[in-house]
Amino acid sequence: MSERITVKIDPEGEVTISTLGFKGRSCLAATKQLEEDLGIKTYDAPTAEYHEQEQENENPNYARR
Amino acid sequence: MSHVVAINVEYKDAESLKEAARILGLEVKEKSTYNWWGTHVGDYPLPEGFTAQDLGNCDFALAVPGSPSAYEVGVVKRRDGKEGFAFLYDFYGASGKMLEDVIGTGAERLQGGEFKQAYTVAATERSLQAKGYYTTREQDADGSLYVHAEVRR
Repeated sequence: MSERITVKIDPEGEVTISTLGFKGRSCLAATKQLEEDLGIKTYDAPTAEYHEQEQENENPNYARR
Repeated sequence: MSHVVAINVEYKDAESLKEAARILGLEVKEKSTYNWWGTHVGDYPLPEGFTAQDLGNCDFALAVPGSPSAYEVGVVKRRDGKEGFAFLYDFYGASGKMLEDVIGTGAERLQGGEFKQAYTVAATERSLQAKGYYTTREQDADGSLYVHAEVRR
């Protein structure tokens, strides 16, 4: 899966940034500069994919179960 | 790994501000003073860190196209200890009304909605492209805009 950043800007100018396909914690680094350029971060949470990959990293057999 | 982040946007990038101003129908003027009443009588708020003596000076100005007598918006670097830009304006009299008709009573059209969205799309694209991403835009039926970014291979 290719690394992808999607930024949603709603009609009121509210912003949500999401990432997909990054390995490890590289997604955090990928959006850090963008977050700083745009303003002040008000919310930051990992997605379900984040937790799945964390488990895979901790247990190499996880992916085969 | 994936994560979701929400951002409270601040106007930090001058070029993105100019792009948003043009979308709002304003003309960007590269000059260090802007047109206003000339005397501060306290009827419009000053951004934090500014005094009446600062009025009339700017980093660049936003003007109403085709209305040379209309007052203008002065765009200035913030002085409240934060990065970014603030707006100086004056709606007094007929010249002020011409500006107010474009940016709204209280200049609210510069603080939200179409302008903020246009600014944020431009600032997002500029930031991501500077990091080497290829970006595309997509518009949703609800008016939301999406900027998609991928690394150019």
